[in-house]
Amino acid sequence: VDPRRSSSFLALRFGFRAKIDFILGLGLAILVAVGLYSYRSIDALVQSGRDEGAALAGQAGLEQALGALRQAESAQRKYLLSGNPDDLAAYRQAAAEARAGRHALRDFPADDQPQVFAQLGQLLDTWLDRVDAAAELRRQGRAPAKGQSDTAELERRALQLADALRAGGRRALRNSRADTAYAAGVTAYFVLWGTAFACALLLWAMVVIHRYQARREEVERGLREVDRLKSEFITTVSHELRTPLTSVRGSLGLLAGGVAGPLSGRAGQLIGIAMDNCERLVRLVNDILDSEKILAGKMPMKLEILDLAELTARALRESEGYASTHGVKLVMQDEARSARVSADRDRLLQVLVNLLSNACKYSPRGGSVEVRLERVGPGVRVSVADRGPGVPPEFQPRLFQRFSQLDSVDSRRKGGSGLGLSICRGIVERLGGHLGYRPREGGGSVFFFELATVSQPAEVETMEKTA
Amino acid sequence: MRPPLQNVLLVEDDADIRTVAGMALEMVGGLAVRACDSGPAALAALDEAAHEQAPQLILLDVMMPGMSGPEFLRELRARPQFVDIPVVFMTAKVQPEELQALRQPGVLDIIAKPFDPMRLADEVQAIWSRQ
Repeated sequence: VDPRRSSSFLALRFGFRAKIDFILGLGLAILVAVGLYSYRSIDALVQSGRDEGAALAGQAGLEQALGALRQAESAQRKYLLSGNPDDLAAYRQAAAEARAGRHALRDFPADDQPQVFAQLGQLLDTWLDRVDAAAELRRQGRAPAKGQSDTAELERRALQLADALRAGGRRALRNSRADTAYAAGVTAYFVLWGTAFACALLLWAMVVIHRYQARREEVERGLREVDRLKSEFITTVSHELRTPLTSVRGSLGLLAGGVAGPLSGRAGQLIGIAMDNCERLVRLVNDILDSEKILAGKMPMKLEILDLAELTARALRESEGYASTHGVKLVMQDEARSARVSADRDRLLQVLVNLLSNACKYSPRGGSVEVRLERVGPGVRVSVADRGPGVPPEFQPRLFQRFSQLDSVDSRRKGGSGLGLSICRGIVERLGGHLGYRPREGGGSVFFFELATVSQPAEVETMEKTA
Repeated sequence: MRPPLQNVLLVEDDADIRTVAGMALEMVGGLAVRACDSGPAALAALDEAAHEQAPQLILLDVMMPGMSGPEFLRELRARPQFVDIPVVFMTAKVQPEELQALRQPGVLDIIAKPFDPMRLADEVQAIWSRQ
């Protein structure tokens, strides 16, 4: 991938986040606003519908009261003329209805004209009382006094008030209907356009996400291709390096072995230097290959059940020669007699030998490297302790990174690739374990790794199967 | 017990490695070495030498232009008179999966390059006596 693409990938990522946040935020705000507004409007509509219903009921009550009153009055007149008890019963029924209508008047929304309402109520009551009183006098066989039974004036005033009330009610109803119609219109407008706008935003967000996804897939494809090319390149280069190294190493080996005749002391020394460095190059090529495999997650592991104590002992034997060139003694402190783990024999041996050779490299001459095998919880820990200078705290976070060594001078002095520990950690982690470092009390380093132990033969079988 | 290994055929395209390996086997190990620079050349040499002394073992490079080691092996096995000659691969490819692909009947072992020339002959002898 060219750098322009990777930088545009970053720009795309940040741009994408900001865009999506903006679009979704705006859409959400619009939806919430529309929702709240619609709720309030619909609530108001419902309330005004309720008020309207009450107003209509009140008006109906008023009409009923007036109608019943007139009926009661005509029934009363009939009774006053005839004195017939049947007419009295008809009159009483009409009067009861008039009272009920008067009762229903209470629901009339007369907030704007309470006095009118109160006056009308009183008038109706007085009117009814007078009619009642006249009927009662007639029943007792007495004639009502002239002014007492005169209701014409009361009726005139009541009708006037009722007209005023009706007109007010109609006006209020008209106004409230106009209000609610307007509110409903605005609400519909808001809901329609708000939802449409929110939908458009969502659509936009979808387009942005899809475009981003497509670009990302493209970038990922490119990266995968780069990874594949890198792996291929490293494998090829390591092979191409090995071929000339084979003849160099072979020629030097034969020379050092005296095949081409005896060497003078100095020649032997020089050939030895060349051979050591040739070996170092080979190790470096191997390390780069291993490191690449681990990084690509492609290091194959041939798992088998093996005794870690035995493998550690073997690693010690194999490192003895190297230790003696550094004047270092390897000491095994065998606390766990045996510890069965599921691991790749060669790879785990590689880890052990690497930790041992590191410890030897950094140990002072005449010192000793202590190897300890101990049980910890459900697993086993192997630690390699030296009395070297230790790892400075500021370097510890980078200790297991690739190509990290204390400094370049150190790298030259100790002859490492800077890959060893990262490879060790990669291998141990592939085996489901953990590789770590801690400073040693009294100076020096302790490198250790932990692996789960396998105890039951049954377990062994399943492990092999999954391996 | 097999007769001790005395003569081998070395098939290797890289002239320098051919020289070094040849010297290591001859001068350190005391073996009779016939060296060829390609598969076809080796086949021709084998055909020629068929009625005389055939090699007891073939040391075979894997990556060779024209005819690779495995291709040479197929050609070899196609000829009845060479079916039984054991082969040891020598390869600079050391990845486990690459090695796995090389293992097949008649291939005794695989020697990784770079090898230690002073121990190459011993190693080949050990493989020979182990078979």
